[in-house]
Amino acid sequence: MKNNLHLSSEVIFNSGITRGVIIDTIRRELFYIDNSFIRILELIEKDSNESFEKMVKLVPLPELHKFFDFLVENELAFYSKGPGEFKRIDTSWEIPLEVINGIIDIDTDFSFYEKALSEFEKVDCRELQIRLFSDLDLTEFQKLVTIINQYEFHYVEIHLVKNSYIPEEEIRRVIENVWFVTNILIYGSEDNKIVRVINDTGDYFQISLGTISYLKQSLKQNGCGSISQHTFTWSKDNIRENISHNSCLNGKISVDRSGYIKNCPSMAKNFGNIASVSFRDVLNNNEFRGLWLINKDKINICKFCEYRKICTDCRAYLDNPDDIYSKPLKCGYDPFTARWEDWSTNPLKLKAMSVYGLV
Amino acid sequence: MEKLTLEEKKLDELGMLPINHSRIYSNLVTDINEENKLIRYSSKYNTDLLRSGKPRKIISKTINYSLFDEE
Amino acid sequence: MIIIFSHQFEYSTNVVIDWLKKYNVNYIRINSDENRYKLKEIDEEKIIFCDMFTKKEYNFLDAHSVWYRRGGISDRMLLGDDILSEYETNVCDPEVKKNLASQLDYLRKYIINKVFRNCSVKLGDPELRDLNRMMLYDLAKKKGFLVPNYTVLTHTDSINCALKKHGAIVSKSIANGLYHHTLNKRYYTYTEQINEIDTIDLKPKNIFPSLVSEKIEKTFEIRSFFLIKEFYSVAIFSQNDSQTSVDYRKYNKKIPNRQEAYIIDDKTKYNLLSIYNELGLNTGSADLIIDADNNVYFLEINPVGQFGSVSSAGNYKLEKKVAQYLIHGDFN
Repeated sequence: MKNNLHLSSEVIFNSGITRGVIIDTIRRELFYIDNSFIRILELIEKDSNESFEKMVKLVPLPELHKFFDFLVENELAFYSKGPGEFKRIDTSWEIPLEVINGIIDIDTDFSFYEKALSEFEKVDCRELQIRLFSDLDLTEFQKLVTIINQYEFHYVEIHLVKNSYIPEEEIRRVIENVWFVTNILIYGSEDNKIVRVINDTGDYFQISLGTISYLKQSLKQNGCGSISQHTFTWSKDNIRENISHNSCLNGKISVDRSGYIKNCPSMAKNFGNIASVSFRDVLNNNEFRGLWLINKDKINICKFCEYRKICTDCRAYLDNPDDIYSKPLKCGYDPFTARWEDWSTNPLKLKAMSVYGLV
Repeated sequence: MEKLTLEEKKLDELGMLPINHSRIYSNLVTDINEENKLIRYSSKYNTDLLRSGKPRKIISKTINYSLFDEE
Repeated sequence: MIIIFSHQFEYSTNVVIDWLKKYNVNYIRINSDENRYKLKEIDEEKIIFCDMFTKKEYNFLDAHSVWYRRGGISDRMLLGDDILSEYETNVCDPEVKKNLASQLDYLRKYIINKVFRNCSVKLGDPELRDLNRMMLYDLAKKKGFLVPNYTVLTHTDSINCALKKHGAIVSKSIANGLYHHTLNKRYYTYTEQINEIDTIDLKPKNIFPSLVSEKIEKTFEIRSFFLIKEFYSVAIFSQNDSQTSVDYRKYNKKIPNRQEAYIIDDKTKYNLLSIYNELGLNTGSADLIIDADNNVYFLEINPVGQFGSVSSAGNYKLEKKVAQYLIHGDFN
């Protein structure tokens, strides 16, 4: 017997070692359920003639009805209506772009900056993060901005350290004048606050051109890679990408502060210096590309986690620095206890932390 | 986009207008000069592009994302 | 080579082009609202346009494939900036102006028509960018669809008659809905319910011809994108929310309506196919509603409707399919 209950196309679910979760991607809600109900959801998804009989064997009938009611009340599922057929959505992911985003780290050496920008443009990288680690003076900063404005990117964010040489009006002016620079983040600020760049246009609807984020924290290379509930993604496109790819590294190409081409600037392995190697060659390198395919199902601990489809990843800072399939170091969640804890005070992580210079 | 506001007219007040003009929704538009700052013609792609305030996905995780929860 | 007619600001076209680039295929994108391409010369064998940026010349008759997404060929493309500004400011005699405008129209039609006939792969149709809603109702009915009963009213007295005849009625615009803006406000009309209370104390008088139709109590709406032989559909549930229960385009941001991947039934498919065949269209977006008794009502077909939201809601990758069709003339 078919029960005609259909899961919403906007809902995904996932089992974990201790519990399951239903994810409403559009309304941004998580519903925790027992894993036995994950089996029920799988049967709903299959929607075969034997589904209902199988469900009754797994969960007592009154509880099953209560679960159906819960799904329908929260509009996670609905009873099919109409002459057509509701179709379970395909979760495959494919986009026409090879490169999704890039990072350039700059400390005191700017010599490779222009070369890097032109390499990014050549491989049609549209989104870029520029991290400026040292105190720049105003002329240096303006020069970096003038140069990037000669290129065509779709989105650029600049991370920099607060200093007295670059006045705030200058930061604002960059967002006003450089079309693709929409977010500037200033580390080492007095307060944490986000300021939208909005011009007062009187009787018109006000639009934000971008944001300046002031952050108390300092900008450190090994400060990257923190994973929490706040880095979960709700975008269906990202979730589909996560299911088959590494959520952080897929489509990423980076240049570290010495001009070395890497998957991510925090990683040790480099694929040559930008002075002599092209992005095209690196993108054709199997070792470089291989990391893009490490999805959460391949990562220890993460593969048992109920959050694995919506969580981001980090391959630079690992619980076991010698094992590329090890869990991200800076994640405080333990799927075996279903509890979040502060990762940085976990004694088991001390050894790895010292390898990365975090203690 | 800004919330739509409804302007309702009694059918009597419509004058010569058709009935479907009895309920007209409106919202404030943006200043064209500001709006133009969001749009750029790209000769590379031969299209107008809209400025994006967010990346397709998080590019790195150097910041404490709990600050951005409201976004 | 593939020719794409579109607008400068048309996102789906951008994504299709990204796919074409991935497959290393040559294309030209003609935006009707820009001056990048300029007509150079036409004879029996060629239609030459010049890319004003690269100074490269293209013979539009070298194209094997063409997609009419939107737009077309503007006066600017035929005249160039200098002649256009003279044409706009210096031609004062209205008769001369009318005549020149018609010369341009004939030229435009000739070019598009010849390009289309010359291509072996075609998607969309520049002649059918805008369909007449009431004519479509009649066609849909002929092809087996249920269509909301409609009346065009010209006098206030008939509003109550229509209410009596149809039960509940909604007002619609006969052509496109109102969408205009003044200095700082933009105005929209949607499909709206007319209630008996609206007609109390209404003075009898003539009114502007107004389309009303029977209100269908819907359980959900369907938006179905048609591409060559296949339908890609989503069901949109907006019933639980009064803000969108009459017209789902008044999108509710707070609790968004659910959009579900959906397969239309065979009879609906057959009916839609026979409408598309009669119109000679190989792509378009249809709006349908399903009522409480599972009846399917036809609302409209938009030949140049947006398909990005259907594509992402159903993960149909329609932009990729369009690109593949333009390249190969099929989906392999």
